[in-house]
Amino acid sequence: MGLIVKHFSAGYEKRGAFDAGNAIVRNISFSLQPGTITALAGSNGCGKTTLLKGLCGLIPASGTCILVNDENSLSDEPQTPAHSQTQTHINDGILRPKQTTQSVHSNHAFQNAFEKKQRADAAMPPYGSDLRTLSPRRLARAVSYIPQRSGIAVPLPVIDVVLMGFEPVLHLLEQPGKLHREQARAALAAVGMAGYENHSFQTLSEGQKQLCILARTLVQDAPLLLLDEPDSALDFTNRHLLLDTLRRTVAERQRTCLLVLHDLNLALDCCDQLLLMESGQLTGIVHPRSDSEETLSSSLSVLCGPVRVFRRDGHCFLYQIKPCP
Amino acid sequence: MTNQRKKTALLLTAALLFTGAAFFVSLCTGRYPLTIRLLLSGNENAWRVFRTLRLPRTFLAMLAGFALGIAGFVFQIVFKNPLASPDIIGVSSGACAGAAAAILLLHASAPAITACSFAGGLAAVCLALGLARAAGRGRLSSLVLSGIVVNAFAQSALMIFKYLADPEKELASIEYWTMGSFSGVTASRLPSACIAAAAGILALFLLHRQLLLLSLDEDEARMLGAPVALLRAAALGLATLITAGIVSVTGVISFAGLLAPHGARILLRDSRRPTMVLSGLLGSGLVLTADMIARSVSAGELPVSIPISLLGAPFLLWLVLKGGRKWD
Repeated sequence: MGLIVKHFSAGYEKRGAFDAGNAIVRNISFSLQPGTITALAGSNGCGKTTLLKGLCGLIPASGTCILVNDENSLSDEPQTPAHSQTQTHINDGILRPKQTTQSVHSNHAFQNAFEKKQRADAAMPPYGSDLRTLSPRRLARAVSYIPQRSGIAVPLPVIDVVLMGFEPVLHLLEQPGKLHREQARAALAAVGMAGYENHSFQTLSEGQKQLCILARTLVQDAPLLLLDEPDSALDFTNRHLLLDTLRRTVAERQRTCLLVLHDLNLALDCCDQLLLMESGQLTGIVHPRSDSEETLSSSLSVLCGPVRVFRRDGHCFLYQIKPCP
Repeated sequence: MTNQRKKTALLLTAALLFTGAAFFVSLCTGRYPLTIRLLLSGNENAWRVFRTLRLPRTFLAMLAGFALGIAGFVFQIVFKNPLASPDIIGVSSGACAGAAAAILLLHASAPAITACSFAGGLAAVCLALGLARAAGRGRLSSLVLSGIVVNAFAQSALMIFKYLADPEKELASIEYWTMGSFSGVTASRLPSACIAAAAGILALFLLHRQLLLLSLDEDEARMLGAPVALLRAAALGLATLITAGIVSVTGVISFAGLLAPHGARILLRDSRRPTMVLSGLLGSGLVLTADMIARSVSAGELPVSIPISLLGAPFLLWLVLKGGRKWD
């Protein structure tokens, strides 16, 4: 499930009107392949969060951002809605992969029954239509978004916070059932938070809270993941656990993931693509797996001063070139 | 896990027992001495007092406490603030202004005062919601501000009515109304309050899942598929319906709507449905006890807000000192 973004601008209204020319984020175009993780990197205040919020329709924006179901169409012009609708039906099966992953969906019987129900409940994610035109409920089935800071103002057990991820598929008066709880537990276990189900969310550390929110995103299971610094409070081990979990999920279920990362070493090591942003514009796109050390070094130097990238044992490393003292 | 469940069950049972006991004691408390033996002996007079006065009054006190507890719980979630109460967007002051207008301008009977204060409370909240929508697309901060504005308007309207009122009669009844009392409750005035409160409580109980989403950041809730502005208006509307339904019959009952949910949350450290019920039960117990004190402590009737505050404030202080951890 890829994403095509074209001539996208986002910002805030000034005197009641949105002016794309003077917006915070201007004229951005890129596309994301299904099954890949893309990092959005740039200095503080360059518009990364604004771009993500704009893609979700949380703030005024112009341009197109379209969820597509077919890899070939990623390079083409945006599809017409009619075209994409037929595709939705044809490619129905791809959407919920038949193999269950060992991490989140532990039980096959549960999973099958649950899939059937979800499929009956949810109209398929709206391929071909602009994300910003969707109703909140349909948008929540298409996009899973983690804001920079997520806050819950009342005391609540961790498991109930994770269960909020099922909100987009529940009926008005429906309560999360046994299947949902089972999945929420599995998701917590997958992020290393097993045993915390009945702890109060408020008493957790910031890092643990972030892991819980990640678990909520896993159960929400939307085709597109937009994550705003999901690792900001995590330690070294958990940071890698987060990226590993995301990579596994994204690869196994052909999800598309765009996340804001400040740790460029982590981004180079774990992501398939890096979007480099500077003062509201996209200045470069690099692919750590295929680009040469020189290309990576020069692209990243534009962003953050003189740096050098080198490869060793199949990993990318980045360091700042400092003049000798 | 079992610990939390046990604790919840224990607290709910205790609150239920206390409320039940208070209910029965309240039935037997008052100017006219009612005992079970007297009722069983088929005393005509005793039965009349029981049916037309004592039972409606006790029942309404219980319902009022429960309803205000639930309404306060909802307000505190919607405003993400442990100090929010139904007064914050002008329900009580609107109802006050409505009642005062009825007393002063219409020289009205009890049912008309009820109708006017109910309308006043609802109108105040509708105005606050409308202003917030016009000013800031329904954002929470603009809702708080427009609540303050509406509150100020209603207060000044009330003051004008008080200024114009005849100090002997009208001013006294306005003042008495703003302190709340169950003394005027009869069977005939019960249905309106009961229907409004029961409908609101039921709806809020069913919508509890969506209610919790309102405690998230606005963007986060929206990205989980919740129509935030609509939900917020619905939750506030229902909580207002409950509060206005009760307050229009009894006059303003202070503090119960703030204290009960706060206490329930400190006790359970949770916001799920059992906490909502516990909040209601604490409110019931508090208001029933306060009403008993109000009618037995002196020869006349004490306004019920006085014993509520006298009982509630130390209770809250004790909870805060003992309860320890802050929940925000």
